[in-house]
Amino acid sequence: MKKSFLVLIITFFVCQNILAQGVRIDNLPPQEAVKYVKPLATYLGTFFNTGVYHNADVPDLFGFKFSIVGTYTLIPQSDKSFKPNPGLEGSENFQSTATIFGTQGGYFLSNSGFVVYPSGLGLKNIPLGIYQVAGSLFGTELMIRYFPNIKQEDIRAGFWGFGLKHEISRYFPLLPLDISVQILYNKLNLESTSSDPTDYVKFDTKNFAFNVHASKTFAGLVVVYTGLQYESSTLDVGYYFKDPDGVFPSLAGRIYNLKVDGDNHFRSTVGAALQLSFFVLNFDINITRQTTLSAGMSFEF
Amino acid sequence: MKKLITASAIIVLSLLINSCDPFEEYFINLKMDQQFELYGVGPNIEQQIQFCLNNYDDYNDNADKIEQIKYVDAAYLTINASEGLESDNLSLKLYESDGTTLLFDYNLPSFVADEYANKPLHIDLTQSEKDKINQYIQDHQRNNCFVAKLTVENVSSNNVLPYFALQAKIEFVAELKLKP
Repeated sequence: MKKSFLVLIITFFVCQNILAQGVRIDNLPPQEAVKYVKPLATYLGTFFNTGVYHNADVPDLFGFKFSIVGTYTLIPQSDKSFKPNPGLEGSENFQSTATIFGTQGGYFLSNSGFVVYPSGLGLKNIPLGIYQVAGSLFGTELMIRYFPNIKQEDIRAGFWGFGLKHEISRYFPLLPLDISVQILYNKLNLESTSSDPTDYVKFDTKNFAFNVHASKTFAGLVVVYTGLQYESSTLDVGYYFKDPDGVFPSLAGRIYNLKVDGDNHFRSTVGAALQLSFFVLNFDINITRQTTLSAGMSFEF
Repeated sequence: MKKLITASAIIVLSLLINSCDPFEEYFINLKMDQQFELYGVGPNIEQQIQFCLNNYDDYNDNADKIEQIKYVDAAYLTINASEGLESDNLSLKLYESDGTTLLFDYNLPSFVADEYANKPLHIDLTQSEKDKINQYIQDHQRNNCFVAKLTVENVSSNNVLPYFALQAKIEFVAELKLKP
């Protein structure tokens, strides 16, 4: 499980392309690197705050849940490119260039020659999965997501997250719906452990969310649920700026640590679940900047 | 109901197919720098160099994924020159690897070296010249190398001695279309 998590994350965000040619954050000065990785910050905020509920009903006594959640995020065109502004004299009329998810890196002629921007991963959408466990007591549920810090090749990665949920409708027995409030926090870190400082790269994401969700169960079998969520995400990025075009001599040759805020603010979720004894299947759609579909399989009692 | 099931099946199927292939083809720009050092007593000074796509890491790193290579742009920059170096004509010729099949011949009359020390000269090629280069590099596994010749004709400078020197750089940009 540990290994498959690493493979998933590393495949998507680090080893396959981020450090390979085409996706070179280390070619960008800090002010441009922020724009390049911003959609990744948004994506991580979207991903980690998805699939966190499928029922507002929390058992009055004891409950346990193990879930595997698959998500499918559509990357909007606006998150695939940005307008460069390198702040170089004699440079103007920039064409759009790829973000980390885009397909076409731009270039322009500066006073010192051509400046070439990196391409992106060329992603149309992102399918990714996660697992989580939850336990509840007296109408309050604690959800945990955890992967220990693991080192593979030159990358160290680790992840943890939690959600705390409380059913407020238990205080209003006449309400026809179940209503809960939930807070969530997730943290993922990836760091290069290479001894060569020019290969240094670090991605550290922190994601917070607060939601109110409601659900209605029909015949003990079908659950229809909806929710509104406030969320925020931050991605701390560290990298060594190589300046391969030699046009930013005063900025080149050092490690930068950037703080990038994702475009995660509000989302609305609508979904349905099918309860088959201990086994629950659910599907929902999350309307946010990067629309995300989520499907889950849970074993719960 | 039947229509609903069919529509749902199509949506689920297309999601599954798309999920399995989230990547699309992408493009990177390959920048190729070539430095020239022209020395001599005139009236013309010139240098001919050979370079290949596989001299560049960006090309080698992606060689097995390249679907297409396209010429995009080029520019000239003066790095260093004899004081007040001028000439009647700056000529840049690019040949195929055989050194005889001409791909383009760019000329700039009334060349003043200092003018391009801090402001590159944009080498604007015609569409037919670009097409010629693109046709050549279409088979980039075989047609990987070029010969470039930079000539400065009827050169003069402020030097007392009739000896001229020009260090210059030509930058080419090509676009690599890569398989996902």
